[in-house]
Amino acid sequence: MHLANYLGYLHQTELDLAEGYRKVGEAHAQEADVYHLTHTLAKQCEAHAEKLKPFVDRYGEEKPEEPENLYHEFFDENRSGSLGLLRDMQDLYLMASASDISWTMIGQAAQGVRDRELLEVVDSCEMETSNQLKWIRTRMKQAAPQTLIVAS
Amino acid sequence: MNPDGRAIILPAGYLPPHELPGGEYPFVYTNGRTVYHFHTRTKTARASQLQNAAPDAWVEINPSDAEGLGVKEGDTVRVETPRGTLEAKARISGIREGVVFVPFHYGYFDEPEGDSPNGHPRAANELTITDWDPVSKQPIFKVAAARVSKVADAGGEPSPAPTTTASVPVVEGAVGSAPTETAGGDEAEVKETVTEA
Repeated sequence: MHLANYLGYLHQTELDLAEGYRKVGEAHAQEADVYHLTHTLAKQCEAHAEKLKPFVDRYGEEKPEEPENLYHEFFDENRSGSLGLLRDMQDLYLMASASDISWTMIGQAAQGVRDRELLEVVDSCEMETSNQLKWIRTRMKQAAPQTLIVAS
Repeated sequence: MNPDGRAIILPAGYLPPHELPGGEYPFVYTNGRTVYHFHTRTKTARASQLQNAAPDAWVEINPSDAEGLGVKEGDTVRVETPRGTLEAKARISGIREGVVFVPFHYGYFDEPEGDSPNGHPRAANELTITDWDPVSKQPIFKVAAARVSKVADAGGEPSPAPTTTASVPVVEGAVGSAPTETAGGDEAEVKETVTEA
């Protein structure tokens, strides 16, 4: 049984994603909407991690290294300017995708082991992660034409 | 998606405002309209009945908050948020405790002294947060955290707030400078004579 592995992966990914949102928000604070929404989403990720904690304790947490590696690769250094915003948002997209697919996997496992409590947590969180991806995608689409065609 | 004349209602989870009152900024600051003016008064300021009914900005504050700050009706108060400041006369009204309201109609287009008439900046939008809803893009004008302090006594000058509508003064709080009653007066009189053809 490798559920503990995925729980550990997702738990750490949510915590790292929260940090990532905050770092990107601070680095691009002149984009007022990005600043405020990244901080809102950071709190959302921390709430996800908090909800996962009892299950990490129940199933035993394994600590895969990938989330931390991703975090360092993506967010150790933030970029500046309009291209920097796009690239930083793209890193958020990749990290949030790691979370999104993990929620799906854990949801499958929760149904298999008939853990209703875990399933409730998955139900309440996976839609929020999916909405995070939608926001990042939309915000990047909004910025892309100006950045890719006009900015130098 | 074709609603075919029907409305589509989308549920959304509650999210608290990005700026909540607390610490240095204990009040909720909000702003809005008075019935006597439209937007920045470029038209309504030129209709003397309307202009006289609400000639200048004011700050609505609850009686118990006013008491805590030592503010009486008509006293000049300062409202500050992390972004800006305004000063206007207090109207002690039935507004909710912990909330202050300022009308947003009063800018500087008709003020020869520019952005600080009589030394008092009054534009409500200088205090608002730069933020908007991610989906509808509606700007967050209505919620900010603010601190309020007394600047000067009324000195016999009443608050310019109308004594009608939401800014109606509350009796127990109306100590200080007695408000001038909002009334139409002679200028509001209209007479129309219809002659049968």
